Amino acid sequence: MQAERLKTPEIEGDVPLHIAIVMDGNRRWAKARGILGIEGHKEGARTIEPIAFRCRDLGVQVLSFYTLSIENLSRPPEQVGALLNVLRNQADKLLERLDKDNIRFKAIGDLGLFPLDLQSVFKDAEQRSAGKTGMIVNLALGYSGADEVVRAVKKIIRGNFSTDDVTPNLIKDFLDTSGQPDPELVIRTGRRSRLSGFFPLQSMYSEIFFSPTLWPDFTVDELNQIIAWYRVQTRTFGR
Amino acid sequence: MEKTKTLLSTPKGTHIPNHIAIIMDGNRRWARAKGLPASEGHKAGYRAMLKVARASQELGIHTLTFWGFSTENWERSSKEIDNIMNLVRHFVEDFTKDAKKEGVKFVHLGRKDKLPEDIINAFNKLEEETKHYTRHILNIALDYGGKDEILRATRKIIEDKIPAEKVDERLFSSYLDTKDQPYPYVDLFIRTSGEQRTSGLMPWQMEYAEYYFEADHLPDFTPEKLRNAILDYSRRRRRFGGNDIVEHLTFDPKVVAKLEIAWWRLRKIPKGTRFQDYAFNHLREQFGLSKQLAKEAAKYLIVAFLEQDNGRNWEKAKINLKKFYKLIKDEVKLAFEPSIVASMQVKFWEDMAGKEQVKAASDAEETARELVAEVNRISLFQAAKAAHLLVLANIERNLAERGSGEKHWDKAQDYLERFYRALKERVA
Repeated sequence: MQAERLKTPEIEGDVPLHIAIVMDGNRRWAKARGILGIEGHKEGARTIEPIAFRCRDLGVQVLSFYTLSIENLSRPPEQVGALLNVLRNQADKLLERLDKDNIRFKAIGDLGLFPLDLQSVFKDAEQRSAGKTGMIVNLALGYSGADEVVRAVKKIIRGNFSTDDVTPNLIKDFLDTSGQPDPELVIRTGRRSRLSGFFPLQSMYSEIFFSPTLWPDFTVDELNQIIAWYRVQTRTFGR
Repeated sequence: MEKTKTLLSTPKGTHIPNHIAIIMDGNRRWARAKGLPASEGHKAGYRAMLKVARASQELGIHTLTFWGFSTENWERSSKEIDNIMNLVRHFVEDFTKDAKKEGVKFVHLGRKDKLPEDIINAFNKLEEETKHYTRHILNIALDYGGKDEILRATRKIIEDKIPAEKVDERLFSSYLDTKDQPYPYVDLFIRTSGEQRTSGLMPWQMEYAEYYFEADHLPDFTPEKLRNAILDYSRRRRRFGGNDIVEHLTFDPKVVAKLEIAWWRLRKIPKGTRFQDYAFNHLREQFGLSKQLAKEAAKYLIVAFLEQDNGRNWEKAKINLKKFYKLIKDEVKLAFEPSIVASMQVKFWEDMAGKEQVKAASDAEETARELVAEVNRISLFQAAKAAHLLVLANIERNLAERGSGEKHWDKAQDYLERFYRALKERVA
């Protein structure tokens, strides 16, 4: 049902159906200002909303944010604790506002890695927005690409599929982004030139843009420029 | 493979990647631009590939992966496919001669059901013959697709009746085409010809890879350019010997800029104490040096500065700068080579001399980028903004010194402040 809805895009011009963003640079932003790293994360969280609304207005159907990787969750406990608190304080409100704008929220990754109270925040938000028909916002939480593949393979084994059943589409169906188009544009902010395992199977044909801007400084203007860049890339899909 | 003496080497302390993966792209575009048939492009690309393979061994790269033909490339014309397959046959011949001498283990990544039979047989033979070599691994991805690799692994896991609870990352890795390799994970991914995509090269193994997009087409990709990619990679891998540079970047950009400008402005006065005092204050603020060290560092810096400024004695400037950077390096525990950084600094001064426009200072900007990247162990890309601001500050200084007015000093200070801010932001 979801896949069907995605087949009828309302787009003017060539806008990526799905944009994935690796939000990097919060801590560096804070450190450069001599304030606590956690303040950078708070500021970074505020950047999400304007970007999401701009994408929705452009006709983007899915917008993914690499929020917390499994690796992030294995940082020293006091750091993780502080990160989780930012989530506690901001996620709920953010998700409510997105929800009001007909945006559907999906958690990507292994929510089991989070404390129970946060798990229920995300699950509630998912349920609440299940009927929304606007853009989908994926938040990757406790995500790693390798983990996503392993979880998919386990599900396939448990589903008793035969080797003949295992097709590219079947694997796609068991990834966290099942039913969604693959990202056509992947952006990483924060001047690092790697993807750190975000969407390994989904980003194969994505155009990749590394932005020098630290995430809290990332603006709608820059997003517009990157989409303009995306439009002039020739996409061959390997052919 | 013909033995070409490339005399490639990297500076001491370079962080050499264990595994480089290259998408060889742009042969057809290269040929088209030259009005040649596609086959000529593939030939030229093949020659470039051999040189790069040789160079990467010289530079100490253990594993090298080339992606030459994807599962989707069968849609190309049969003539072009024939061309490519003939080059593969050439490769088998060339490689066989070389593998033993260099200790290179050959591995084919990809499907084995559609490639011409003689090539599959030759690959199997090569793999068998070289399986005991350990010095290098050469992965050739042919009829390879990342999704296909994952798919084949999943099917085999099902065939082997592995229960779901036994599947973890380690087990899955052992079903991939890179199984049993010491460095299956790609450290540095290079794609030539300017496309900014992975097209599905080793999706699993690329998790930690640094991406490097080379604008040139494969036939123009030289060992020297490979070396540049490695140096850029090395700078991104910051190593501080347990000491985090952040602790040493506690300066206030505004204060540092002000102090630095103060001694820039005094440079017409020869070796006066005030001159050194200002540099002393500046270095204390920027690097957090003790009084003793700051005094010594200021002496070296000022001597170097005056040598290049008045006497144009670049060599003497370089010697003093080397001492200066050695001191900074030991104190701040950075991983750069003082002699290299000193040469870059001198080159920057040289390039910058008399430049009053950004356009005219493009050499200086390139040097500045290398200098900032080298000192702070960041990539050229990451250093770009700070380098640009440094050049702007120096242009304003040149203008001010020519007597174009006080406002240029103010501007210089402003740019310098922004330079330090960018640096701090970048390295933090």
